[in-house]
Amino acid sequence: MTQFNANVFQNEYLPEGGQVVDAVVTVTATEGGTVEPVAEVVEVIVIDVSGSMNEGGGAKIASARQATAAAIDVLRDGVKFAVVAGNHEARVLYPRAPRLEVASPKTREEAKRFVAEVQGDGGTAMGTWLRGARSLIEGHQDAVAHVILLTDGRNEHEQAWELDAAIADCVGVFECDCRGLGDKWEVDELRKISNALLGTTDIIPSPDDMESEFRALTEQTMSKSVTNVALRLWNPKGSEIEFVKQVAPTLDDLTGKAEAVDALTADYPLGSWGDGETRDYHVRIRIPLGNVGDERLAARVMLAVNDVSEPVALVRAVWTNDEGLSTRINREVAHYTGQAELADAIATGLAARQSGDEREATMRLGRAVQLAHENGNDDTVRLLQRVVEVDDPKTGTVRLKRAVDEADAMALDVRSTRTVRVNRKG
Amino acid sequence: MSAEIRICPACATPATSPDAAWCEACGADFAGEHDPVEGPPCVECGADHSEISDDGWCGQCGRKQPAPRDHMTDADGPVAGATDRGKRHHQNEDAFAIGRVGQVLVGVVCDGVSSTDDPQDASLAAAEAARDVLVAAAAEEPGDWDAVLVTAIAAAQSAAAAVPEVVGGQGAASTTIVAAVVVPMDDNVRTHVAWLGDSRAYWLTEDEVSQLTTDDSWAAMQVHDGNMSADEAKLDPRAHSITKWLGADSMDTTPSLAATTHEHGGRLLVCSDGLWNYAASAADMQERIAERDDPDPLALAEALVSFANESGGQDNISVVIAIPEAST
Repeated sequence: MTQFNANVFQNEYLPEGGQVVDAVVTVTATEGGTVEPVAEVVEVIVIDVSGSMNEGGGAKIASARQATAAAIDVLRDGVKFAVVAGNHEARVLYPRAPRLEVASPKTREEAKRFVAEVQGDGGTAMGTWLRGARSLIEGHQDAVAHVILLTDGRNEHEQAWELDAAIADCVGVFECDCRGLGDKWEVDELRKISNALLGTTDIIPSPDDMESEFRALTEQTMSKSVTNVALRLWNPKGSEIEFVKQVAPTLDDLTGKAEAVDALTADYPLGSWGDGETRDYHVRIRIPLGNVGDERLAARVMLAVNDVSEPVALVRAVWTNDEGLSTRINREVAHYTGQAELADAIATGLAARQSGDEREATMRLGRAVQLAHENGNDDTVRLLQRVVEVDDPKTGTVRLKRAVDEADAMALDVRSTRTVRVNRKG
Repeated sequence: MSAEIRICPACATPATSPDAAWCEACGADFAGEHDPVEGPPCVECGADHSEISDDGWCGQCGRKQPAPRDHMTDADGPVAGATDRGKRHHQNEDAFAIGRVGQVLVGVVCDGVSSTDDPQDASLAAAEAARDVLVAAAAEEPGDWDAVLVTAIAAAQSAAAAVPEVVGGQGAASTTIVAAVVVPMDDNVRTHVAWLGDSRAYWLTEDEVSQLTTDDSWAAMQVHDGNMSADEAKLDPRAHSITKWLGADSMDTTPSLAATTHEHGGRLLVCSDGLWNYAASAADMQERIAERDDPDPLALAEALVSFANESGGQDNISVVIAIPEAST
């Protein structure tokens, strides 16, 4: 059984005339409560077997085989799984039929034998891969369904709209984590897939890192106990949601994913959760004006699992003419506002660098160094240091590096949305 | 009134008349079916009471519905009180309690200290505890009201200090208190007052208002020590800081005491600073009362609350009026 709890961090006091309410909602899934665990877990591993995977003396395809085998070893008995080989088409590598197989000592060994024989050949058509995974998973609506998608290249054998349409068809069917091997793939392409399918995108700079990454991703899926979870928000009549963002462990704007439940209530899909998992959300709502002394509920926060919801927290607004109260800065809200600004500074800085606008790139990446330094994003500081020389992190004084490894720039890009949590020690 | 014919919720047969109380086809009771939920609509958007959640929020506009403490009154013949949230605070942290034993009238006002945790609990507990002691004692016709008042304040302190501590909060729940007893005698009326903090008691006659209490406040202390005039002290930002209060962290809970004798025909006013902020001097208070006077104690208490709200309602307002009868 699983139970969801939430804490709200906000300054509920608004000045006279104030209408914008900010709150950070920390949601934690813990053992206990009444939410039944899922009965079924599905894992589909999609590996790129295009011709380019043979490059580099076959090291890429060899480590893809090894990493897939490692992931298969992590599958619990009873988990339904398949391995899909993707190039310009999608072929079910295991089992030897377009269906899912039940994990057991026998089927895991069998699967690893087939995986060991896979060769690279052909092009890249990720939309086709996604549709292939979908055809295996559809019908398992109540299962935790997860796909690992590995590629080393761009989606060259499909139009962008074909990929977009395939992604849209997979929303709600499975969650997908994308991994790009080397530096010849497109960050925005994989990010588009993982954002829509409630997963992550990351770079695997070297084939040697692939095995541990695949194992970790599969272990994460094995740890999930509930699925079809949604953040359900009631807001008063006449209010406007300015945004709903996941802000930890990664930044993810959920605003556009709202699904109306009724005139005043909407769901923001959160996918699958494991016991002990914590995620933070930042909501900003513009609410109808009140008089000094009035109190209004800005949001009733609920967690819905398979459309059954439970209230977990309230976001309030109290109008006051006491400036000492209304000007208080809430630490959590300020922290995540800073994290979002950091991600934005990196994104715009890298875009400026790409387009040759060195002045803008230096300014934005300098600001990023400053924010990362201030907020304790140590990993981000290290990634930034591979792209810029840091003269003074306090003031954000930096110089662009002349020779930058493309993989380092890509790592900075994909990991710019990783956030650090508020240091609650104070 | 709706003339609509009801459909039985159990068997779907239309009722025989609009005011049928049960279904003639299957016998099902109509009571409670389709009736709008009893209770007031939302104070802001007018949504039906069924929209109001158990925790008091409107399901349409989100407005917090008034709490019972927002405006309360109580009356027992010649003694009555009213308390109000005012216009600027989001909850009422004032409380009052009244009592009557024969011709002895009791009035207590407490003003919870906003900068502490759950002051509304401290003020209510303290006011009722003090009142209960005074009422119990009045039945015994005590000779030494000062001693009774000291006991009443001690009971109020115990009650205020018993408010649970908030872990990591801003400070123990605290409150002011002013407790007054009016005892009509054959030839005159005696008042006995005990207080800590800046809630006040006044004696009102036809042509004079006299303050029976001296504020335990920074401003009063400056005036008393001769450092400032009352007008100068009033303007200082520290003016309202109180120097004595009840609560778990109070260092000195010894009340000030005042016993006075008055001619018959006067009335007692006990109030929090939510009222006297708008009539700080006795002369001002007299004028304000003259403008709104009413022979009924509850009507006068309500009128003074309204006056404070019309003047800005910056703080919670509490007023108790006691009108002693001539002893027989």
